[in-house]
Amino acid sequence: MIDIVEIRGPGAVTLALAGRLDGTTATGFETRVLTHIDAGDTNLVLDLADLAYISSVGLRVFLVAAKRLQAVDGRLVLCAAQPPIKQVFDIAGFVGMFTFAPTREDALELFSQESRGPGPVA
Amino acid sequence: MKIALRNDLGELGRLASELEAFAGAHGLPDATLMALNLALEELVTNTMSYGFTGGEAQTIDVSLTLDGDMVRVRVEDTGAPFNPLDQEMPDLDAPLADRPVGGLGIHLVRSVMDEVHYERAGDRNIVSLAKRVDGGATA
Repeated sequence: MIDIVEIRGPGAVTLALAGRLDGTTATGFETRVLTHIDAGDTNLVLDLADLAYISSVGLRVFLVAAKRLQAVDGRLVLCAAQPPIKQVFDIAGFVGMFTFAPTREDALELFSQESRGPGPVA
Repeated sequence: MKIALRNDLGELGRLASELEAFAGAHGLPDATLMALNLALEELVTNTMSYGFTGGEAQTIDVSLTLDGDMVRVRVEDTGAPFNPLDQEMPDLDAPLADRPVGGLGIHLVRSVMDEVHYERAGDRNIVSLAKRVDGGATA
């Protein structure tokens, strides 16, 4: 069982996940994420604060989403992962492939810096 | 505890509930419960995907016992001979574009369990696992 709450802005669309990403919920989550990306939501934050469990089929969705976003110059930031969830990403060798932010505010800040564009050349 | 799972991914929810009950009854930490659930989901999903070729109803028998500070788990099925451990290790350092979207499950099982063993006995595949309760993941 997984609940997905969508929050628009500032600078990105946040999907806050609550529940479990397992063999019974991963496909629905994948459809939801890819629908957003295909609709042009290419600045994406996935808030994992209330994600209690993840298995390899759940990890796979993050990989699929990251690849899809990379193809359209989008950006994915994960935030607020609990230590046991972060550990599964770590074991899978996924930590280096994703940007992790400690909180949702920190994640959105990364997009606001981006939208201000490059600073003056020093 | 014994759990007989039908060959149906919908059974993963029942597996999770049964494991929660087992962890609650024995006072297991959340990290141990998560490791057991993860390892069992990966193995059971593998068997459902690759072990049963026919469409006939089959079951996967899972049993858990607490033996001192070790949780011992057996996963048995009557599917075709299939050693889930006999898989190539995924390349964990490959860049995003080169990552296959799969092949991680057995790596996760090996990483979160302290012991993993496979044997074929008669018409049964038997995977035995052990997880030390106070130890963290062995990765």
